[in-house]
Amino acid sequence: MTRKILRINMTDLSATYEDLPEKWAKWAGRGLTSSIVFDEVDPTCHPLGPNNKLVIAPGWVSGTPAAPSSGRTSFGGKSPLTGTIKEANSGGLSSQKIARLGIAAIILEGQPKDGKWYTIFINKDGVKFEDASDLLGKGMEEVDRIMWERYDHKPAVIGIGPVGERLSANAGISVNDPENNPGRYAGRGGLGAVMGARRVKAIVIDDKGGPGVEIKNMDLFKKGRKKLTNAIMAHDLTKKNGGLNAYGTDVLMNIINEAGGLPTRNFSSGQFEGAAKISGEMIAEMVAQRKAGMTGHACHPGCVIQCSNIYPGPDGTIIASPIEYETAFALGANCGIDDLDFVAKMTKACNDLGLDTIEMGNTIAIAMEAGLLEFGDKEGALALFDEIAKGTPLGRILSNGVEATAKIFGVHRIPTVKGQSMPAYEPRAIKGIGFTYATSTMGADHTSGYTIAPEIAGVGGKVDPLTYEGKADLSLAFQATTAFIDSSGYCLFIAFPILDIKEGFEGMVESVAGVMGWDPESMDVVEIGKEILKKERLFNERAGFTSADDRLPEFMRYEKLPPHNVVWDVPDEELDKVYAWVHEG
Amino acid sequence: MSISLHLYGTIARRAGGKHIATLTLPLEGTTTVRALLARFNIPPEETGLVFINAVLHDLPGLHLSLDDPVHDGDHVGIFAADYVWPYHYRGGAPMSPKLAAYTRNHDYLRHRPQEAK
Repeated sequence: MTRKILRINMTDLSATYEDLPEKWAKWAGRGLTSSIVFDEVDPTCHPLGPNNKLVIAPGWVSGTPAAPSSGRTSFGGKSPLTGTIKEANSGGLSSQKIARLGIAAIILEGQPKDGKWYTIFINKDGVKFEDASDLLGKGMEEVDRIMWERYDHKPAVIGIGPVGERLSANAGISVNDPENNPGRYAGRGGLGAVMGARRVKAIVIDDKGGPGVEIKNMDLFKKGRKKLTNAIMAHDLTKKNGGLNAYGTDVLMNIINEAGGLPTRNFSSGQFEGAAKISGEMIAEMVAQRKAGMTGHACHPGCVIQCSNIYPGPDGTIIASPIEYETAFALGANCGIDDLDFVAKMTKACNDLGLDTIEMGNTIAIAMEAGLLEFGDKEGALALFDEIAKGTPLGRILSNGVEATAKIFGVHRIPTVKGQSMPAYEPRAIKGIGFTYATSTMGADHTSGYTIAPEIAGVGGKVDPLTYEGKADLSLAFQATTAFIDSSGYCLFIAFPILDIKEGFEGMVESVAGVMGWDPESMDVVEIGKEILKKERLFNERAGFTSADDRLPEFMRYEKLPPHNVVWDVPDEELDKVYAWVHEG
Repeated sequence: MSISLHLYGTIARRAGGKHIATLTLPLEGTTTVRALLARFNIPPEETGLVFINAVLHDLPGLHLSLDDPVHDGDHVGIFAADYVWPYHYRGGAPMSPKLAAYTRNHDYLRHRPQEAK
């Protein structure tokens, strides 16, 4: 039983199962999507044209029995938002089901000659192309519901909303969760438009009767799985009733606000007076008060961290799932909105229409700065989603993200790197993340540089916080480790326990090695990650990107951010050290 | 003459909150973090991250900030011990001179620097 590549060509509506070639044999998840995009996609192609591809890959351990929190699916292609290579990954049902069908990656390529839209159904017997004209214009809530009515075995539904159909640059790809809601998104970078450009509305995966995932060394896998699970359950942040389980990712809201690093009102301040009202603590309070919804929700089967939530309205009916920190920052603080119910309503609209919440919230903040509406105008912000739903010219502009909207409305405070807007950490106040925002192969991305243990990063435990010395090397080690975890199928949040608990890191490595039949002693996580980064970096160079693109926006160099009143002052040559190795040796 | 105090997590219950307690406290002269905690019978070991005026003064397990002064008009934010602020979202953020001196010689990447081996 060897993993297969499923190549789906929309030009002639063919599906072929190919043996996984040697050059891709060791890869999964992000390592595989980036390898395939590197090998098969012309870096100079238009992301929405016939020559781009959408690659979908589960991770190394996805679909294995009870590997903890291992349900991430990687989606890759050339991004319409950034023009760079892109990998965005999601929770939900898809990863484990694709893996259990014996599929290493789905490559979606071509465009139908007749311009028609299709749904693709994949099960153990093969691939069916079905007319999707009845689904056009429908939001993901309805699409998910219809797909579960139409197909048996509660399948995974990978789909795009109306925004993806219109090929907008902020179109995400939705994956349904265990309750068949569309809150799981490969959100960033507009890959929903890449899927839409292939005229695919939804991909439905039924793994019943599939061959399952081959585990080459079961004893090693089990040993690793146990160590990793124990570490997750022991760590303050990921344990039962720990920070993530109790309050979700929005546990960060009050911390980052106290630190003066919460981007507020289009990145004009680092503190928001209404932060507590949109924090994870408040979500927990609303769930308790309204006796509905839940915290500690699992976004995919087998997750032991369970950081998601289901947010209830005042009458106890469910508004949306989940309210993430990034969501609450972008649709809340960055728009000057301190009302969780409205944040939830806008989240629901994003999930249904097929929008990345970070880019969308930041886009509304640009519209506010441009004077289309006032900061804090929650009704006005919510009404903008009607424009998007109707596909009015304003709605179509907004669904193309921050840079497009800023250009059209004459705003110069544009918090983007390589066309992608910044997540919820102000780099002027929290300088370390600025290294990652600036140099990531993905554009401004908070999930590109998760910390690893100092001995693995090669810094011996000591990092002088007051100098830039060694920070470029640290950022590289973080980005490389993150690329490894993104390839594993494990949720990135295992990064916390594997940083602090040695056995947790060993468990991650051993469980991956067990599946793949590798010797864990000879695995160098940072070096494996660097192989992925190198492909991504070279793709971007061939697409026309240079070190001049590895910069934070100009306004951050001269506008002082309150309350610390600091500017971005990291020298360019420090940033250029992060990827200097790509062309050395 | 007053200060603003925010308590987050389980320690909020000791000051009348559920998950968050937000208080404005009258203040004569200066006080300390230790004295503020004592006012609400919060044992220092139940606290972790401490911010004074958006500057990080403490990390979980260290308790370096207990004798740091708090002045009129200051804003103090104190989190329960199990809150975590991961390094990659923390590196380069402003911190007190005392904490900076400590981190120069200890592991600053981990969430609880004292536990580094």
